[in-house]
This record gives sequence, C-alpha cells and structure tokens, in this order.
Amino acid sequence: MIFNSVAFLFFLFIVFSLYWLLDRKKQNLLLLVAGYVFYGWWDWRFLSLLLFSSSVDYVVGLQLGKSVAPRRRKLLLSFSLVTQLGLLAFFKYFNFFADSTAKLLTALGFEASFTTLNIVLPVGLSFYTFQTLSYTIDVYRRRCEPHRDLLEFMAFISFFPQLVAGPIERATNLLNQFAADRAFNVEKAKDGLRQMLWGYFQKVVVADGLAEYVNWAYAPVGGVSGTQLLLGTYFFAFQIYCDFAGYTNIAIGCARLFGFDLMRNFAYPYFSRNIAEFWQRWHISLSTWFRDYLYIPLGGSRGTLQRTIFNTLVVFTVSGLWHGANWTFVIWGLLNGLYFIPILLQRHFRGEERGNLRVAAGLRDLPSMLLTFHLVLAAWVFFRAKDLSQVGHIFGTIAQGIDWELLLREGLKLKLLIAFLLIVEWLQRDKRHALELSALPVPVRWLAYNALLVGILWFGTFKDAPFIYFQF
Amino acid sequence: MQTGPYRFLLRTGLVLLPVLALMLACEALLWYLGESVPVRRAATRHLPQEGSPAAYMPWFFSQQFNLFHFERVKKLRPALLVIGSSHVTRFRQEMFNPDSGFYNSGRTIGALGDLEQYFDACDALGYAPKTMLLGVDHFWLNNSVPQEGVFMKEIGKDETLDPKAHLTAYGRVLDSARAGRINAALIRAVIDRRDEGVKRYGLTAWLSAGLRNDGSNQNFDRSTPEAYTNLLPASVEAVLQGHRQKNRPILAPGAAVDPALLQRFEAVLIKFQQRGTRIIGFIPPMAGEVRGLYANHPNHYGVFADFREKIPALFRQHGWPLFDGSDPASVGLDDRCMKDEDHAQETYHVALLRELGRDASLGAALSINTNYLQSLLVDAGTTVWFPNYPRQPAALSRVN
Repeated sequence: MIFNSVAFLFFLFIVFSLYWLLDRKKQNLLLLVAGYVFYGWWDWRFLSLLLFSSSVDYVVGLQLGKSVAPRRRKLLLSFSLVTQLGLLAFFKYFNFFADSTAKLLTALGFEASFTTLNIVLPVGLSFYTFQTLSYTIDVYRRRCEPHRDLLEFMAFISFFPQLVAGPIERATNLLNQFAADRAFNVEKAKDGLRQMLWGYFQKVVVADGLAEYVNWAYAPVGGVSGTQLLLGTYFFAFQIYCDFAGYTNIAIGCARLFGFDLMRNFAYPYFSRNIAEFWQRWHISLSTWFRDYLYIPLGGSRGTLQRTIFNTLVVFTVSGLWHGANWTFVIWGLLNGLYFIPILLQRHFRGEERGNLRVAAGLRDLPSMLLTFHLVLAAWVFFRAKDLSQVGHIFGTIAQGIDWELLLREGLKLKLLIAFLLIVEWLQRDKRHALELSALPVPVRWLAYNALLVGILWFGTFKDAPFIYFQF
Repeated sequence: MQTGPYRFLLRTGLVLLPVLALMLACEALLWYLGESVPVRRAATRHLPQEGSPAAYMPWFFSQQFNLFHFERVKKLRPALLVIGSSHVTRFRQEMFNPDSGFYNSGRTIGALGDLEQYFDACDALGYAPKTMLLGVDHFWLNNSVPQEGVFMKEIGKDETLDPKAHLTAYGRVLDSARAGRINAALIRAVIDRRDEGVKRYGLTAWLSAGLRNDGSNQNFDRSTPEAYTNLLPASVEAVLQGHRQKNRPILAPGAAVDPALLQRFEAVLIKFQQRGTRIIGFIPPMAGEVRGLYANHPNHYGVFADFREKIPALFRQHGWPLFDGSDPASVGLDDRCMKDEDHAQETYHVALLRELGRDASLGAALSINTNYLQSLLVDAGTTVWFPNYPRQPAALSRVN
C-alpha cells in the first residue's frame, strides 16, 4: 500500500478510528496488524521476511540481556549482523556482485560466468533491516535494555508510517513510545495532518509532476539535447527531494496522529551552505545511522587527517551501495565523500567547528547555497543514470552547449511549481516543516489548507506512482 | 474511550468542507455530462440513433477506446469488422449495406501486440468476424517502436470505476474552467441538447464529436490544408524530437521491417484465417510530406519502403487481398483528402472502397453499398476540402 493511494486514505481512517477506542496493549496489537496488512498489500509472501527479521533480533536482544561473557555477546551480535546483512546481501546485492565479479575475472583474462537470479527486492528491506540492526547494536553496547514485550517489539519494527522508507528509527526513541501510554493530543494531531498535507503536495504535485519530464530526458533513447538533459537534471534534484521528503512528511505526520514522534529526516537540505551541512539536512536518519554504527566505530575523526578522510570515504561509499546495487550509486556516494575532503582539510588546518543547524541560512548565503546545490546536482546525475555510460553521455551532451532560450522557455509550469515550493520552504525554514502554521489566525490557516488541497486536485498526478526510495 | 480524536475528525471534515464541496460539484458535472458512466454501461446503451450522431467521447476521463470497442464487439459480434489504428476510424456504416453486420473497431491496434491480443480476446469469446478489413501500419513492424500492446490490460479495467481517475478528472475540470473551456454557454448548449433524445457519454460527444453507434469516429473540426503541413517537422532531427516528445510511432525511425515482427504478424493473421475470417488489407494514406520524408531519409525510414515490399508479398503469398493506399493518388485523390499528416477524411475511405469494389468478390465480401458510394461521389459536399470529386489525379494540384 502506498501513501498516495485512495486505499491508504481509507486504511488510515479505519485504523485511526479504531485506535483511539483501545487501551495501550490493544493499540499496539492494532498497529502490528495494520503494519502487516500495509506491508502485505505489496506482496504477502514478504511478510515472512519481516517476521523473521524481527524475530531474530528480538531473540538476540533477549539473549544479549542475559549474557555477560564478552565472547558470547560478540557471537550473538555477529549472528544478528550476519543474518540481517545476509538477507540484504541476498535480495539486494547477489546479482550485482555475481555480475561484477564475472566481469572483473573476464577482464583479467579468466573465463567466468556466474548465474544471476531473478530476485525481487522486498520493498523497504534496507530500511527495516537497519532499524532492527540498530536495536541489536544498541543492546550490545548497553545503550538500551533488551525489550521483553514481544508485541511492542514487533509493532516497533512494523510501524506502518515508517516501515518501508523510514525515517530509520532507533529503539531508544521509538520503541520506548510503544511501551508508554499515549493520550490523544489535538495540537499534535492537527500538526500531523498539516505535515501530511505538505507531504502530499510535495509528492503528488511536485515530484510526480516533474517525473514525466525527467523520465523523458533520462530515457535510454537518444535525441535529447544538452539543454533538456540539464533541465531534466535540475528537475530530478527537486523530484527526488519532494518524493522522499514528501514521503517522510506523510510518515511523520501520520505517526503523530497515533501519538508517536518520529525523528526528523529532512531539514530544507537545498538551503545548505556546504556539503557537510547538506548531509546534516538530507536523509538525517540514515546519515546519523552511518555516523553512529560505521563512522564512529571506524575511528571517526579522532585519528589522523588521513584516517578521517579514509573513514569518510568508506562511509559515503557504503552509503552509496546501500542505495542500490549499481556502480552509479557507489560513485555517487564516493563523489559526495570527495566533496567532504576540502571541509575536512579546513577543519583540520583552521580548527573550524561544525556548522550549526539552528542558525538558518540568510540571503547573504546565496552564493554558498548555490555552490552546494550544484555540487549535489552533479552527483544526482550518477544517482539517476541507468549506468556509467549514460552518465558519460549526459555530461558529454550538456558540455556541447546550452541553448539558454530553450532552458528558460521549456517546462515553465514545472519551474513555477518549484519556485512556489522554494518560496514556502524558505519562509518556513526555521520551522520543523513547511506547513507549520499554528501561529496564524484560524481563517488564514483554513484558507491555506483548502487552497493547497485545491492545488493538489488541480495540478496533482494521481497514478499511484511509487516513491523512489521504496526501491532501496 | 477518548472523545477527542472523533471531535478532531469532525472538525477536520468541517475545515475541508469547501474543498469537499468543490469535489462534489466536479463529480456532479461529470455525471451530468455522462463522463463518469462506466464504459460497459455506455457501450451497452449506445443504441442506434437517428442520423447516427456521435455519442461516446469523454473529455475529462480517458477515452478507453479498447474497452468501449470490445464491449461493443462482444454485444454485436459483427460479421464485418474494420480494425486498425486511428487511420481506419472513418469507415462508416452508410458505406456498407445495412445488413452487412458492420462495426468499426478502429484505434485499437497501436502496436503488433494489440493485434495479437485482439485475436486472443475474440478467440476467448468464441467470436471471429466473417470479413476483416485491416488497415496495416508500418510501425507495427518497426522494432524501435514498443510492440507489447495494451489491449488486454485496457479491456480488463474501467477507469471510471477508479477513484484516482476521478481525482484526475477533477483537475481537468478545474483546468478547463480556468482556461474558459467550461463556461455558461457550454453548459447551456448541453442543456439545450438534452431533449434531442440521444444518450451521450462525455463532453466531446455533447459537442457532436466522438464514436458513433457503428464505432466510427466523427470529428467536429476539419483541419485546413495548412494545418497538416505545419504539423510536419522540418528536419530529421526535429522529427526525432517530435517522436520522443509526442510519442508518435508513425515517425519513429527504423531501418527495415523486423523479420521477427513480420513473422508474428503473419502468425496472427493465419490464426484469424483459421477461425474462418476473410482478411482484406489496405495500407492507410499519408500526406505527401510524410512520404517525402521517408523517401528522402532512407537511413532513418527505410522501414517504410521495406514494408511496402514485404507486406504485399506476404499478402500475395497467402492469397489475402491488399490495397496499397499509402498515396492518396492511388485512389484518384491528392493531399486535400487528408485531415492531417496521416489521417484521411471520409472521401478517401469512399474512394478506397470504390477501388476495392471493382473486384466483385471483394465488393461482395465487404458488402459495399455501391449506391451510397455513388451518391457520395457525385455530391459536391462530400468533404469541405474536396468539393469537385471525382476528378482525374493529373488534374489536381496541391491546395496551398
């Protein structure tokens, strides 16, 4: 089931209506059932995977709680890591590694051919695998207690608002909320609906509106000019942002209707003044996951400059691979890591501190914001392209020259949509989401909601287009 | 039990009342225009009307020709079936004898896969036409055009029953209202026509365009001769761009007929024949500029020349009659009979049938209404652009 389907709206209405009639235990049971219905809507066969993944870490968590011997604890953690990452490796990376190894061996002069399998990637696998792994690692590190209530644990892993594309939650934040009583808070619910509304606007109007042009420009048939490819790349930057941030806004807003607070996942990333800030504002739950469970264990920035650079490159490369089993994603990650090097050098030699997200960007920061945006934009070409030869084709065609008149003329309606999005987000950049309007008078708010809904009806694309990040 | 959540739901409903009212108004308009009538019901109720008016053509919903035509075919089981792409939609019942069992299922075959699926769907019904007049398009045999087909998929679902399609339609209503296409005069015109006793499905049908009871398509506008020349791009590069942007398979580049596709095409026609269908083919016409484009750029459009050799050979081999009408001159006309670069007006179809009817056996198989054709041929008003039909091709010149 996807958020932008009519079925989901009915589903949400039914679950919400029942939920607040129940006590906490039954609420958790309802959320568990709802999560499995929501996930099984795609393919019920993958429910077993979700059940298996949750069960393994529930049991491992309990065993870790009982064990004091370091060797046994390590063994338990390794079992969880091997199982969860093994699932991910099999479903997501088997064909990629088999194919790449065969190509490498052939290039070295060996005769090699591995069988690739016709594997369907279960939706959201990377997300819930990382969520459940974070729980086991935190229990291993004694940062959180093993959770004994099976129902709460299962409901935590399968919580439908964030099950398939995050935010990737930590047990310390979300699991504890399942263990606590939840009282309906009307202000929280109202704000949740507002956030959902903005998410729907981002997805249905902006992201899906841009998708048609982007798909056309990036189709593997020739004949698209450099100008159109450039425009398609700009549009893709906003498509992927609105697609993913739109999903996240709906997820967070939806969770708030049920009394839960999910972590923030986007904080107006295109207003970032450098690449480090961008990664503090883009897919925050994944960035912090890699920081806590990969970058810091590798040594983080505590060692030499060279070691810090190495750690950064490793984290970004792995992050690229997390997105998909394709060299384009690996290079996309590596490129973002390379963008970091000047910042690391600056920090090392000038002793500069990290940026402060609480200080919002001003217009005087426009040059640095534009530079950051264009660095990100160049990397998006790798992310969107089908393979590396298409990346070469795109950069090569753009380099042949730009027809400025065409660039200004084409896709005017789409540019106006982007302009509207940017203006609203710029004005609201110190708020947690762009439709946080609680300070405005009631009639103005009501007018804004209705205007936005009419905008969605008018300009929306209602095709049940899946969210891009579901494939990861 | 907490009452707050339910008060919250009620309050949300109140806040959204204006937009809900707007949606209701859109839905009412769509219902009033017959846009949201399920296609199966529209196809069943699409009865013969006096004067054969156009009565089915949604504007705000997708037109769903495949579903509509197939529902009509299921109901009528026509003995004489016209089939093809949009190039065949102007064959009309009047051109054939009243008892011919004619139905025009044009605009259903956009790719070879559609033809295969059309056969499978008919076969599943246990139906096969006695005679099939097939407009054969060269892009069915061009491997740079997707040939999967959508016929089965489209006859399997009715968009009017899909809430998403309703939401899309609301957007189109709002857009039309903003652009002034929906206004008081239009609504008045629709209201004025409601007492004509014709059931119409879709705004376009209310404006006298769309599918008639015989399945043929009726357009309310007629393009000027300049219009189609303006449609044609000036260069191959522009053609490629146009193809990519508008997804027009007729201009898709292709070096030659794909042998595998030709084999599939032959196989499906043999299947029809094995079910007792007599196959009669023709190659639909194109304006001079399009034919010129193909001729001048053989590297890009060799497929067309190859098609004109291989298809007649294939038809000959099986004893199926085929008329190559790709040049309007082949039926004694010129580009003035074209509506645009690849769609002909009724005159062309009349002239084509006259040519086919010269063979008595074909005339009988097609049940051609010779008297009607003759009356059309002497009628100066046959089409706007061809007032003096018939004339000798040599005496004609392009209208500029």
